[in-house]
Amino acid sequence: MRRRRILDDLDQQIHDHLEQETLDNLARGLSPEEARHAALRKFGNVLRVKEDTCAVWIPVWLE
Amino acid sequence: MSTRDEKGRIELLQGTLDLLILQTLRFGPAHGHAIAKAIERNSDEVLQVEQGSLYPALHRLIRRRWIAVEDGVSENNRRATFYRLTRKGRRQLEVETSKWDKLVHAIARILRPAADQGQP
Repeated sequence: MRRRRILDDLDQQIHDHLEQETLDNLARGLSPEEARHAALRKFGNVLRVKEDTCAVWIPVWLE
Repeated sequence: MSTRDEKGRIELLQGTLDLLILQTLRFGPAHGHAIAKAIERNSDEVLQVEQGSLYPALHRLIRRRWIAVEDGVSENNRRATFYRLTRKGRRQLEVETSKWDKLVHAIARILRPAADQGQP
């Protein structure tokens, strides 16, 4: 239950993270498109991040 | 932690990222993006974290109960998930920092042996 609650807003956290990084890039003078691409590049593969994060909670005996 | 080895970047082991996160949170709770930027800034931009790798690391630390999650408000005045060091995490940070210091010291002795040692 605790695991589900903690993972529930992972999507939102990642969204907010990318948004903040994009804003930082815009402040540095990048165009909106460049700012977004740079943020995504710096973050890495979003799906893989979500999978890796969920995998942390797989019980040890299943590994 | 990213194993990319682009020019100027230094590979970091998974446990090292965990240690840097604990140290960053020593000064107070922070959200994911702020943690990433703090690591970059405090390392004088030497350590360029693949920012997504932070999230599995944060969850490893939550699972070990070295950090806890709490709701907060970001600098943009929006609701955000913050992470804070637990008492157990603070103790673990001291243990890990001590181990790190010993490791660095030992490696430095091998890489730059004292002139008077003359031993293999």
